[in-house]
Amino acid sequence: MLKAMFNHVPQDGPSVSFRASVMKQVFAEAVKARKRSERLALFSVIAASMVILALAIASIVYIDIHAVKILRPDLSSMPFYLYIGLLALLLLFADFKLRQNYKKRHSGDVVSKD
Amino acid sequence: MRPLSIMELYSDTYYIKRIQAGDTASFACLLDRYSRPVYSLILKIVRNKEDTEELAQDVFVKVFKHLDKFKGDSSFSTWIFKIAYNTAISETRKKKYEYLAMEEDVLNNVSEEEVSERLGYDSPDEQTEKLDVALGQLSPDERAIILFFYMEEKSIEEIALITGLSVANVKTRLHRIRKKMFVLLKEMERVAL
Repeated sequence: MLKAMFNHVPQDGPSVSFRASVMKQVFAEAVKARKRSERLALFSVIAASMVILALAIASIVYIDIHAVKILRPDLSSMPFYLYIGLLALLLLFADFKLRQNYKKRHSGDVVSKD
Repeated sequence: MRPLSIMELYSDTYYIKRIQAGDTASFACLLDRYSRPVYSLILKIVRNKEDTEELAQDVFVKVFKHLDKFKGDSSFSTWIFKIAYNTAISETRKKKYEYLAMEEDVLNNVSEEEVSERLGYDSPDEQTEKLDVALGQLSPDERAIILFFYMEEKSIEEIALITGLSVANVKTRLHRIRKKMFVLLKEMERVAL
């Protein structure tokens, strides 16, 4: 009997603006959620960086890992190598010029032979 | 990837997956499907149109915010009705109303056949009006239970999930609410005569 009576009860509906109003709130909530997740990601990156930095400091200070040393090369023999290099360049230049002169001088001999 | 069947394409799960993937606009499809039953249920529990509109909006915003918590253990409609029920009942607890209490003797003193016979002379509109008056005499949680059972056609197990009561408790309460309704309807018929 009650079932038959409930079947006649009309189902009330919300106002016309209800859908638009809810969707507006839902979109605002989606933006909030996105910003929240972005903040969370940024915080995670900062936290992870801080942990790595703390571990690095701890490993240097407490675990006694020696700092990496960059070795400088020995520059005492540098002037000698510069002298040899310049001398080699000078000799190469002299060789170039002598060859040029030699070619100029003997180029006429080749033509006259023909 | 397996192609979706028509049933799956328009199912609640399909829209939920789309929303969770970032397609917020898909929420409008769930809103179109559930706004009317949710609004109607809240209105019948709180019995105030101004509050109902606001509460129904709250329900849908809560649904959107907590959509990731829906694991599919129950149907989506049961889950959404649980949120609507809790929201509406919380609201009625803020405003303290007085509801009709009945003695066990009075409840046992009436039969469904007797009430059915007396109401048989009324038109459907008159019956609906009397039903609405009788519903108004019940407490909000009693109204919710009987509405879930008769209007939303939810099973006892689903009502237990929505209300957080045990199955046995729902059965007992439903039995008492029906008896209470019969007493109220009989009383209205007696006054009318």
